[in-house]
Amino acid sequence: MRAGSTLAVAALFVARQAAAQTDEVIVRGDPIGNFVSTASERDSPRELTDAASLIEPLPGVHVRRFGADDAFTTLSIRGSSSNEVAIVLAGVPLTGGADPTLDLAALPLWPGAVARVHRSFAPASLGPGSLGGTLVLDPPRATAPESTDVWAAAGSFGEARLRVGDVRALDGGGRVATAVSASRADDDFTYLDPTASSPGHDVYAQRENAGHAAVNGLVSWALPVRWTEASPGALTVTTMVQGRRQQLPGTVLGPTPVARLNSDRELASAELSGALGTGAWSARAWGRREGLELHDAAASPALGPTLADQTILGTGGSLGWRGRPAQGADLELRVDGSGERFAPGVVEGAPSPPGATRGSAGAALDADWRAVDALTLAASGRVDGWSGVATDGTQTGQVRPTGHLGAEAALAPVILAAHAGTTSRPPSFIELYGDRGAFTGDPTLRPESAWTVDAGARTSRRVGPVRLALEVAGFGTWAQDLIAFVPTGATGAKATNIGRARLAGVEVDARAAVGPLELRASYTGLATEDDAACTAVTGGCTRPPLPGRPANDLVGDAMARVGPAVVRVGVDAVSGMVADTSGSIGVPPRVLGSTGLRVDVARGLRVALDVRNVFDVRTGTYAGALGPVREPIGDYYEYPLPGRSFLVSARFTEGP
Amino acid sequence: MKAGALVVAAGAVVVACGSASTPAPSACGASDALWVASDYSSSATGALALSGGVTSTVGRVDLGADPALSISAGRAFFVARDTDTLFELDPTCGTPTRQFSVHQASRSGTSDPQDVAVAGDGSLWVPLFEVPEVAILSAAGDPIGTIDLSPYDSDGNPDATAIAIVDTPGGEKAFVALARLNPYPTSVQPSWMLRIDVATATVEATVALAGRNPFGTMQDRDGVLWLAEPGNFDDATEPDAGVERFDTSTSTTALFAHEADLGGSVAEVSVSAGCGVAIVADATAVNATSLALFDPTSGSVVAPASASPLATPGFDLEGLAWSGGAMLVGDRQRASSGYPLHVFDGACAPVERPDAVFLPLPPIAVGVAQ
Repeated sequence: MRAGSTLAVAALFVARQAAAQTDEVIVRGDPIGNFVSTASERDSPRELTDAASLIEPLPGVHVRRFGADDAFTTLSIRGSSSNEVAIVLAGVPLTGGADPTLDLAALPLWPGAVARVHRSFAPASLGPGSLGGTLVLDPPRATAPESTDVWAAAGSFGEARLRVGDVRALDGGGRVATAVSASRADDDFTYLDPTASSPGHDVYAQRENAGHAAVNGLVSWALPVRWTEASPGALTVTTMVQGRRQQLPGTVLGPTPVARLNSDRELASAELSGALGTGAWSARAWGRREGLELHDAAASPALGPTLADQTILGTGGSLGWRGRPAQGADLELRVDGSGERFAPGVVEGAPSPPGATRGSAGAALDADWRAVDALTLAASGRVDGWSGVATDGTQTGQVRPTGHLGAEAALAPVILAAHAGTTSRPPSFIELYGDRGAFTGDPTLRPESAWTVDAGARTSRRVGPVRLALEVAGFGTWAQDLIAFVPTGATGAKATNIGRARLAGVEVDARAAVGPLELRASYTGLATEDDAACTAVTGGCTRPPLPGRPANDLVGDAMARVGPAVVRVGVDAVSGMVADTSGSIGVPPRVLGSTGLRVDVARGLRVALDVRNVFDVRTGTYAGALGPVREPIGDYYEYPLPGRSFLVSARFTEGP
Repeated sequence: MKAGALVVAAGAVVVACGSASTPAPSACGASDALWVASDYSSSATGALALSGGVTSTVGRVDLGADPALSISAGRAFFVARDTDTLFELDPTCGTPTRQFSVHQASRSGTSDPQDVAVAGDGSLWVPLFEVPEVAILSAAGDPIGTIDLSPYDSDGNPDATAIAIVDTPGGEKAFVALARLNPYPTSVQPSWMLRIDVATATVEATVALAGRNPFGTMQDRDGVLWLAEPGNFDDATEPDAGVERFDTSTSTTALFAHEADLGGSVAEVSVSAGCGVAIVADATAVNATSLALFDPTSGSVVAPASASPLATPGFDLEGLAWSGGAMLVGDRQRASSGYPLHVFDGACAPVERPDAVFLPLPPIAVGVAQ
């Protein structure tokens, strides 16, 4: 595979080192097979609180927070639903049949972590794809330069955070990366209580039962392996453990003052590689275990169980080869397989969901071919088959091909790229088998599928004293067989292949630097259409937009270096979002400002102050039945976002 | 019934008229019924003429996502159950004209108002579902008291679902239906009717209902309360489920038509002088709905669900009322022009008119205030 072919659109730029926010920006080779955005923990202009805040500024990405940092957070890529995004951590797929929607807040963040967001298409060799894109979160690599990082922070709402990372060499040529992170917060911010407020009389309430505490640890080894005198190889092993206690506050209309979720996650992955022919072979294996234990009160508005524990077990592996079989051609071939088991444990206060297992197998191909100097073609394809069974004996299974083609043309100073293909997502366990009586599954569900085309251009150049990098991409997606729980019967809902949607958008990622000044901005414009619904009008059917997708999403930061200090001002703005399925409830635009100051106080030691939502915006104005009404800000007012918050941090770095 | 007078000159075109802070109540002319609709994501309300005219207020966040329609003493209320707000509706136009908050500070989140009854002095009585109370607002809308309902179920909340205020021989009384779902949300113990003296705001009596799980609002017709009591929706043959007739003058009650005879669990009931009609649901997982007709005098079933003039493949029929001699039935299955409100003439020998009334969202309730 070509060097840097993991490349990315949004990661067009890699700073030479973390400290060099205003250093020269360079464009790394970018992908043929897909558009990918990259965010590095070391390169963020903002103080990062969690993994969601790492990827939040990327184009094409909308992070939907259901509260403050560490509250349940979902990821939408190019307007996808959160369960249509695959998430891979340290080479281990975290999303599967049991948990298609992953809480981003539960992802660990360590010094040196890097996130890559594959927008729509992902390399086939990553594993079974997704309908809407893939987030790959890489922990600190043992092969990285030796360094030690310690980052500690304290802030509003009882927030305290610690991240420690260390990479060092071992005797015998091996290397080890270790990382620990921990955080806690109360997140007891105040919000406008819509039920207690009345026109002209605002009542603010304090968010209760919204805190969390989490600790994560990781060790990764990279060990040289010499298969023969002329055939070196490597063994990489990564292990991770997580423990988390998450309070669940519910909505402002239906608060759940005692609900909490205790969870733990353990995963391990190993990769063994060696040279073979004109390339290298590699074998990977992984396993993960997740335990979840939900507690709630009997009278909870959530109407769920008072106690429910469950375990998710997954394991898998792959074998592949990648190399250059011919001049100008890069190829990766891989076969993979996995197994997943969902096992409900003790359930009190509600029927137990059915247990389920799923076995999957797939074959993948990623190929690039430099047809002529300025033109490279790419192809990526997978064939996936899976079969599953629930504890009630219900059996399901399917075989489905997916793939896409791409081309990249270098027309200096611009590089053009385009891709087209199909993606798919198999139904989840709850969609196939139901849950607790309220949700009825359908074992005959078809996988969700979509056709997507995208095209874009990028450039990186110097114009006088200005270093400029710009990438613009547009996309269109036609999705069908989308699965939704349709109200069925007097009180239930049934999974149904009812959804159809069209999405189109434009993504812009821009960076500019001149002297001590630097500007970064990403913008996503999105137009969606729910082709299975109608707006709330009569006389015909007008298709509404999909709820929760902003038409405009802008993240920008401007930095200025003054001596040892870097001053930052930033903006996060979203607009053009609706809250309901008929598209009649417009969510007010919100523009949140932020600012920050970083000062290098000594060699390797930096202190920082970040202020988010600096103007303390806590309400938005909706259309009400008798006139405008104020509601809490948020993607929907039932999940309010906090007002102004502070974070003071210090970072010690030893090494490059 | 009004003479089908035009609500909106443009026929079935919806007019979103909620943007003004105080919509003019008489700007829309006459109407035949009011409606409330919701897809449980957003809600709408308005008025309709049987000839096809519809006005509507849509896209207003404070209408919430879980509404009900209450009509009492000639006044109509949009009950935004999830936002603790009552919107009084113009009885002709269906446009919101005033709003009242019934939020109880003792509870964070929604107090979940279910219904509204207007007392002779103009005060509003509102049973709450998430707080075991009946909230009382003055005629001006100020909270003036509550009635504690917690003693009426061992779990501390008897799940009040509906209220009616009636002039009885003993004076003005409020009747509050208590589902008593315990363990929640199952119906395994008898449901009750609470009788409250309006003048003193004190509970006078509890009456065990013959059926279980009073569902939705009650219809007050000449001092008789008609209750839909499905029991449990997964069983259409329960002996203590069906249509209940509660006589407020004597506080006596009886199961008037059994669900086994009607052919399904009763989700809604509406009675006119010559015919009673119920929306019934079968006991399958989809709870397919249909209509059952019964004699409001004898209780004999005229047409069970198996002979329904209207049936749907799922739990689709919602909203049931009589407007003059016409029977109105809401349908949550969208047609090309919107969600139809089916209109039948002929009382208990129903003949359906061609669909002419379409709503912008799936119907929840329909009623006549005038």
